[in-house]
Amino acid sequence: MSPTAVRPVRIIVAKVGLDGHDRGVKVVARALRDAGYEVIYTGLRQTPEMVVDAALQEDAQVIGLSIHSGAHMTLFPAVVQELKRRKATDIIVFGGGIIPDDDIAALKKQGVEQLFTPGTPLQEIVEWLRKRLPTSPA
Amino acid sequence: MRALEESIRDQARAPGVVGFTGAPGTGKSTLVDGVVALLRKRGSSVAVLATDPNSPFTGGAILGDRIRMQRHALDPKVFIRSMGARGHLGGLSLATREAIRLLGAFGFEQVILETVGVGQSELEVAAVADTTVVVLTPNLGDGVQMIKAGILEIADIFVVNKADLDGHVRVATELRSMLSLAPKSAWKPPILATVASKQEGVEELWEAVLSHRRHLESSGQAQELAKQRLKDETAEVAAEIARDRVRQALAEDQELAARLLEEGTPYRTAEEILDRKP
Amino acid sequence: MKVRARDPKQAWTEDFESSPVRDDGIETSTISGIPLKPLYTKDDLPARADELPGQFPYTRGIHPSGYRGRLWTMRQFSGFATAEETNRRYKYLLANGQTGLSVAFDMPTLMGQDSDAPTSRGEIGHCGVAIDSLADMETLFDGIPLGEITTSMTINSPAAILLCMYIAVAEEQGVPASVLGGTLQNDILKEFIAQKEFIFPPAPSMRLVVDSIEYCAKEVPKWNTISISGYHIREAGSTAAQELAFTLADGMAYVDACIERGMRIDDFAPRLSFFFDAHIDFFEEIAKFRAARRIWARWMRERYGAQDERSWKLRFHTQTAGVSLTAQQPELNIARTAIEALAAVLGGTQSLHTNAMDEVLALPTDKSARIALRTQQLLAYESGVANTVDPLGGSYFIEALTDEMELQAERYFKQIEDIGGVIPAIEASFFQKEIADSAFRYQSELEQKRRIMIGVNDFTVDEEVPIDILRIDPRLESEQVARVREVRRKRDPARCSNALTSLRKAAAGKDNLMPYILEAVRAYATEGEIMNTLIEVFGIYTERAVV
Repeated sequence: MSPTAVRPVRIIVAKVGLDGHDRGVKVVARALRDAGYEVIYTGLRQTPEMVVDAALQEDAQVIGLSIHSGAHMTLFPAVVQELKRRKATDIIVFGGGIIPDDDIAALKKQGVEQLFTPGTPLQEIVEWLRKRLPTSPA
Repeated sequence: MRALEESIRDQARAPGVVGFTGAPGTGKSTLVDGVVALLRKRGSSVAVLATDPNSPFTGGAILGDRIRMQRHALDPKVFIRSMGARGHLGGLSLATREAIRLLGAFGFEQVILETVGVGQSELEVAAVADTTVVVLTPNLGDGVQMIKAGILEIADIFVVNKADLDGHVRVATELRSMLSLAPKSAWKPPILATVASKQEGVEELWEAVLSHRRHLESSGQAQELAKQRLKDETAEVAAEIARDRVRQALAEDQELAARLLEEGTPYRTAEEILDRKP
Repeated sequence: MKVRARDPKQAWTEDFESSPVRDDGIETSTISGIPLKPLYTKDDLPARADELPGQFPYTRGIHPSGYRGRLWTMRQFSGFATAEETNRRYKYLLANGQTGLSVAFDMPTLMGQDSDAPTSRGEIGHCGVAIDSLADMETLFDGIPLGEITTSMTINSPAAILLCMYIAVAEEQGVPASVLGGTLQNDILKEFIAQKEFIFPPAPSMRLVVDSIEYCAKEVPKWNTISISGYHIREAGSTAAQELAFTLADGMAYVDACIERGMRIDDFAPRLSFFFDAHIDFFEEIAKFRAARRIWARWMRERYGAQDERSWKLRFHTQTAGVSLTAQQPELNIARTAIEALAAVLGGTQSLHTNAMDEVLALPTDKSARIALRTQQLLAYESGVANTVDPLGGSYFIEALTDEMELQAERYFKQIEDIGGVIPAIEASFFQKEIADSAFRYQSELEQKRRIMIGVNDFTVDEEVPIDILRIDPRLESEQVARVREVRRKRDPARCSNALTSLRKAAAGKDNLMPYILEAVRAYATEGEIMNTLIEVFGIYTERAVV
């Protein structure tokens, strides 16, 4: 491809597990779009396999997960594991939800890069992404 | 890119390419999802390249086609790539053509292109697809007259989706009368009715696609189109290369850039840059 | 000295316009975007006949005596991971004078899955009790006389199954279904719209709801068959007017479905109940509740021809708004909850749940749960607001706002009707789009500081935000898995298999499924097995998501 064509950063956002509260993930999806990202919302009740497979097909650089059900300690690591299995550990994983500090620390150790808790301004999420991925969106 | 081109040249097995275009809300994604299901039932592998427009202001997009095709998640014989149109004139078809070749090399038998009919995107689809399907729905507001003339010319097949709603017969009738005024050609685009959400009419649609392909083969059009496309693509690649070369030169050569701004001579400057050795 | 006689209203207008105005950039409209005037006067009072409580259309309340006659029920929703633990808590509450129980179920149960299903892993017991079969239900209510208490069960897709389990446990206690009292949430339409705990497609889902309403009308006549909910719609981000309109539209869709089934309106309408949110914009909520009663009464009497006045009277439970609570400076949530509870009381709610201050972060501690309950008691016994029925009736502002709410709701009803009804609107993603738009609009207003959330986007402090969730002992998951497998092992396999076969056949036909589900439940078929049997016939619904 031509060297000066700048690819927008592509982000998969999803809800894994049984939890169906999608207000947050939808608001974040819109905010990311307004910040210049290409966002693919894969919907509710995703399994870790489905999310990673979508990320690979879509050549996404980032996966964002939203979990409010308390099942984050099972599901986030499962996604990280699946990325390892599919040899796609360059994909960044971040997320949001009701997640206590010690769990955040534990999940970060397992490869989740950032977790945002209730009340985080959308701007903060966007700024973190911009810093993390220096390629500016087209 | 040239290296990639070389490496897959021998594996080139051109997949069948059908494009779906139409206004937002006509149910294209659901229809494509239905076609994918049909193809899978018949054992074919299929790739979907779905395009959504990017915001002209922020460049961002929510690419919403994959979520309409959830039932094919984890099916290894279905590949879905969502693409932002990114407003590049001609850029869409370039990326798509490359993708189609790659997908063919990877063994996908069918490729479905899906795009929203805004801007020039339907023309870009028609330039790449063997068969172009235009999707309409009964609640078109001011009727078929509002459809862009361009769409009528590129359609090989018309589908009136959501045919369970009132007004679908009127749409089909209006369409038929508009087509009767069009110049005669060997292929008469059929007007089909579907209810994509119920998987109704999808088999007939695919039959029409296959019928169109047979027509392209037997009339010799297929070969003609293929030749023309290869030439068009070469020209587009050349245009991209040239574009890049000019941008790069203007960025690196301060003196040249200054002269351009002072004298306001884009044509002369462009020729000068292209005459240089790369 | 010359005294210029000004018209008082004009004088006020002039004085107001020449007074300084706050320039903090904060919206003066309601949180739902309804523009508010700085002043309402007699001129804003809608021209209508005097309304009185206990009289059609019940704007001022469904009972003539309001809270003078009987206080609202203080019904705090709570849930623990195991049936045993919950059973202990219930006995404690009952011993302390509570007469109503409320059951929260865990995600796998809410989604109709057994604890040993692969997708249940990691999800067991986090937000409520795990119920896989009648055996768990027996443990849950062990030693609790179902004939003497009322129970509210918050569950939707599998609601019919849980109701049958409750009936079966009562049977075992020798309590006939005809005396059982309680509420089943059972509101599947709002799942498609907001909470997304749907399983089957809309049509068979509605069939199940109508089956349960029809069955209870005959066999369990004291049971509130459905709690038509606006709470979840509001929490998903809707405005107050949307909450009002979408909830009542759902209600009417259920009524239509029951009538289509052949039921007479007065046979089932008295047992329909509602569930609303009490959000932080104080006056808007009060107007919303009053408008709800008026709209429902009119529709029931005038459109549906209901003649029993119990069919006209909208009864509702309220929960204070979870989304209004902050993780930051959580003590403020006590004040927020008090304001919201006051709105619910001034709006005439029949029962109320007040959130605990730490609920953003965790399941509440004993102390914060107690404060939440005390907040209601404060309102009831100290503040005096329960002494007069509909104290804000006649307020220029409240009456004008009530009318505005009603107007906005009617506009939405028309839009829904134009699409063809609630289910076509769901399939067209109409509600979901409205909700997503409202949610995003509100978030944008917050980010621009046009709306304030203390502690979040203003008046913040440097603080630790200690989120602490209920830690589920991992043994619990394996124990529950073992339990359900044990149930499958010990039951009569022929009876169970026959029951499921009959259920499957009935599901493919037109019979009321309740008796078949009851038999399957008695045969110790698990919840997942019953749901899967129904899925074989009904299929699984995938939503057409809009962002």
